[in-house]
Amino acid sequence: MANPTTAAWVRFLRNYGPIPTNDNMYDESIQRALRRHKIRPITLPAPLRDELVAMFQGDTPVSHIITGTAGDGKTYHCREVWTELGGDVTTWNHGDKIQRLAVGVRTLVIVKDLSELRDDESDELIVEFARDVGDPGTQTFYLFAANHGQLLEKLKSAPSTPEVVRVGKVVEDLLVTSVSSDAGIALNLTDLSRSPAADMAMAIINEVTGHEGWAGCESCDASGDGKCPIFENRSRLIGEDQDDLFKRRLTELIELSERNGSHFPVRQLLALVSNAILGHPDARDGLMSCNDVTAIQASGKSDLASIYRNVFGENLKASKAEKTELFRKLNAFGIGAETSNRVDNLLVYGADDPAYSADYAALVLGDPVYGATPAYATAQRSYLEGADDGDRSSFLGVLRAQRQRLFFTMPDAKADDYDLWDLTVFRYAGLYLEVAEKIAARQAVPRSALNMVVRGLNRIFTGMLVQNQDELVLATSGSYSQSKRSPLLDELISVPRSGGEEVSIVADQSGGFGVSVKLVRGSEIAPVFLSLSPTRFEFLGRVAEGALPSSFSLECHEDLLAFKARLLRETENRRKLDGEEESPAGELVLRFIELNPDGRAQPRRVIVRV
Amino acid sequence: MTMEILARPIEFEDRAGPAFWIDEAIWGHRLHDEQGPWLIFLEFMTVLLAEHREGRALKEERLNSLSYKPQLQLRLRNLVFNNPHIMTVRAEARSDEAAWAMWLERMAESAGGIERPDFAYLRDRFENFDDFAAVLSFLQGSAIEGTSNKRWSSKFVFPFGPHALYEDVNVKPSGSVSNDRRFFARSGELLYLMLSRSQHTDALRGLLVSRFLESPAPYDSMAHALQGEQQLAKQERAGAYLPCSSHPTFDRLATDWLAILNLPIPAHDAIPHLVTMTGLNLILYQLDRARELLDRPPISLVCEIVSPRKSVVRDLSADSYQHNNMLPQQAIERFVRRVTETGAWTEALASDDPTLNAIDILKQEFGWPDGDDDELSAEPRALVDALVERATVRHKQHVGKIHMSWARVIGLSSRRSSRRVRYAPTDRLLKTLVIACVSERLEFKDFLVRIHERYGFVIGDAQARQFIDSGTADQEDFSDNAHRLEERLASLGLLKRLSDSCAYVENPFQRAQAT
Repeated sequence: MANPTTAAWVRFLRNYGPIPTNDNMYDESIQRALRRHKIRPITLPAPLRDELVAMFQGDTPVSHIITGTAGDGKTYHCREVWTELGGDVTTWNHGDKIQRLAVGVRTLVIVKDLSELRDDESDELIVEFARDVGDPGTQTFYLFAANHGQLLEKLKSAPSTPEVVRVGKVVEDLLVTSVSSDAGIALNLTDLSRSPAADMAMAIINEVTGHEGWAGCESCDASGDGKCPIFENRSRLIGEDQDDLFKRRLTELIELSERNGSHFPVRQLLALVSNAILGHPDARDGLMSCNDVTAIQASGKSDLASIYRNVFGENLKASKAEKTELFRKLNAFGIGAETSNRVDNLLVYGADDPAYSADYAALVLGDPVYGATPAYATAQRSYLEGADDGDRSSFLGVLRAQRQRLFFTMPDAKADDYDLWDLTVFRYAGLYLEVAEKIAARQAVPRSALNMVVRGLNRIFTGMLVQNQDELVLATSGSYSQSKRSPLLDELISVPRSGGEEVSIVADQSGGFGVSVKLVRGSEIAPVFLSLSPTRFEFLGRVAEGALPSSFSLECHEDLLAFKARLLRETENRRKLDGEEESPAGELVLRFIELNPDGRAQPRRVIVRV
Repeated sequence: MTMEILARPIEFEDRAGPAFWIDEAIWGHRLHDEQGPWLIFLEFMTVLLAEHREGRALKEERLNSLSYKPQLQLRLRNLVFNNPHIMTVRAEARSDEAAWAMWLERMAESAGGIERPDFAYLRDRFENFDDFAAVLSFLQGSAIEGTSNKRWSSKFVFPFGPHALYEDVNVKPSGSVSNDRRFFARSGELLYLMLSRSQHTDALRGLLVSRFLESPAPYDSMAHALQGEQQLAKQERAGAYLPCSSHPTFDRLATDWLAILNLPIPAHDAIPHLVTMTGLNLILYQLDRARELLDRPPISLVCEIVSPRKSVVRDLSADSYQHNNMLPQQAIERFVRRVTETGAWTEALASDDPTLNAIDILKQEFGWPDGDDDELSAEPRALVDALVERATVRHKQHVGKIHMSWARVIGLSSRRSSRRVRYAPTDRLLKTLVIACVSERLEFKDFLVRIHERYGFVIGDAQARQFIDSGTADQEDFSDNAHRLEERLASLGLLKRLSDSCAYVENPFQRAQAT
């Protein structure tokens, strides 16, 4: 029998998972569950909490709005600030929607969820709030939490006094651009959805896997022979050290996803970790509790609890996984569906092909739990022996699980050999992460990345398969810029620094990077910058390589055309600064782009007397 | 309220005109499916230029009195689109001198529609023959619908400016030039009249003239150099007819154009968006006039934002497409048959000579029957049936295909992963909608409301109440559809999401200017 304390902890953890009751979605119900089972709460780093407490205690408090996506920890922050500033926990738990706390001579008004207020309640509050934040002598300060939509709705529905309108504008600016244009309003806003989720994911993994709730596993029969899938998954998640492959690759996926603009709130990360450890398709709602383990072990389907599948929600019904935002985001990488020849050769023929035998032993046979399971061996065998269609599709299913496993377990030493990132839709993600790392460490960016970016840009800019990578070929269509082909040369811009020109990959303000084009030596013309998300980077990579899958529809192409339009504006400015005439009177000078035999674009001057 | 139908103009009666006045009375003379939105725009520009030259751009002195003299520019067109000699001459000629001589000789023989073709003036304009060839190749490459296999006299260089605008014509091998209305079928004239009758004429005139006619791109001078002196059509073009003096579509069309023309982007970049919004508004105009006649509720277009799987919304959007597609034809029949509900018709039937009196009424209303037609029955009701039948046959040839063909061209309809055509807007159309409807930024749900109110697009659950309340669809079907739109817009850089529940649709050009 499972240890009852551990079983309670697993049930508690299970409630964080993507299950219908969703109990642990809310701070409030977590608090209740913790009290009932005397479980130590999961505590996560909250730098904002300490900042807020210090700020409200300090000499110059400023009212603050915490916003973010559902599940980012807004209520948690409000409660923590309340207790840290001496507020009474019982009063808080009593659940008044508007809580007031005396801090010295000042009053702090805390609303943990604006949307809980009825309109008549919030109207009055918002009007007072708008007056106070605009009043330098006020002694009343506010801490509000709300998700973005609710926040704007409350501001819109409040009586539109001049103060409310003014504050409304400030809040909108803060939300959209993070900067307020109105210095007279003392108000700050923190958007929790902008804090980096990769770090948070690591913290959650450490906190969950290291929780004392697991202590009972040591003495549990189920884990004795090392076959309890919950125990197994937890061990794999702990890994060997902090730089464990699995954790690293998982956080890399999260990071790439975030750089593409998909945010992972804390609640989703908790759901991910819970699902990764407890997922099994045969358990209720797809998540195991301790009581399910015996039956699963007996059924011989422990391999379906593979943590590498669970990361993508494969333990859930397909429709459920698709509706769960967390898994939609992770499945956007196509891991399991995408593959390379090398990887599939290994997985399909590796058992018999001498060229692969060493790797097969290490990468497949080396993992008897989720790798070379009897189920896998059987499916592989019957596939190779020319089975009928039913067996083929079942083999494709297990192949999918193996590709997912390999993505997380392929040692770095073999990653290049097997083109690890070919297992994802983002084949250039490896290079992308390498560039990001170098940029963060202020080191030189790999030359190959810059070459790739420049060649990709040139091909988009001209609509021709040009090979130039040491200069940017800025071209125009002569007609409208949406046109696919641009046969007229505007300027050739040198990539290595030369005469004030330079094209380079540099950091942006938000921790990412992009390509920067400098046109002049001084500061008369600011460099033109294009931030590179993993999607854009991939797009440029594929274009530079010469093949473009249609799944990259219009999106990146239009972004790059807009970038070109900005460059064209600035080269025009440069010509004006240099006092260059466009064309002498009576003449139209055209520079057509011609491709020489090795694919380099060259200008050809044509004069028309008009 | 009865719908407005202005009198048929009589001063420009031409014998080759329509046999009966039915499609024309409802939608104007005339909408034509073979003239796609790009060519409608070009015909519009040709009219605008001609009328601007006369000092009356977008001013209609009397309703339906438009008469203008378009440019022909046949030298330019021969050079760019009826000039198969360049390649062979470059291959054969030994020197630049020989190339020019050989080419001039061949061109003198093959040029069409020009009385004494002499292109010798070009030698002074270019340094050598290869430069000349490069310029022609550029103009061919940037031509509108350049890959079409239309006759050379129906191909168009990019509208760089006033020298690059001309009308579609038919050039016979004999050299005679006639205006056969094949691809400039007057839909551009209708567009011109619509904008002239909108509430925003003055603002539009100012922007159109300043951005397209008075400050042309430098490349317009290339068209000028090739054409030489401007060449006008010999005769005035008259006879355009738009049946109503005002219509909500005209004002909306003008508002959309103004929004696009006011963007801080080069004038030429605005053209594809103008073309798309023109196509959309003309489709809606056709549907809306039909709806008025049939006295139906406002037009709605259920749009599927393409999903990987078959969905309820996909079926509903196909139904919605099918429903709208039939409206114009139903309107034709209704328009003819409603004559039988008039007092005059009842009187005619009760009179001594019902046939003759009925024919009089039909002639007066529809300009039919004309002259002797032995096959016609003498029975008035049979006459009406015959007219409905003939009108329907004619309608199906062209006017009845407009919804289908223009909706496809502007990216509104698609058969992607389905056998039925449905409304499934492309990324390009979505982008145009955003830049035309969102001045700076707009909350996503307000955007859904706005495009529903303006164009009748049904995308989200709040707009699909009718289907949800009747049990045809679940709320979730449409909220998923809206969610897909949100994701599409985000990936197109047109939407900024703040959280699950809040997102702003942003006009990318206005935003670019702000930063």
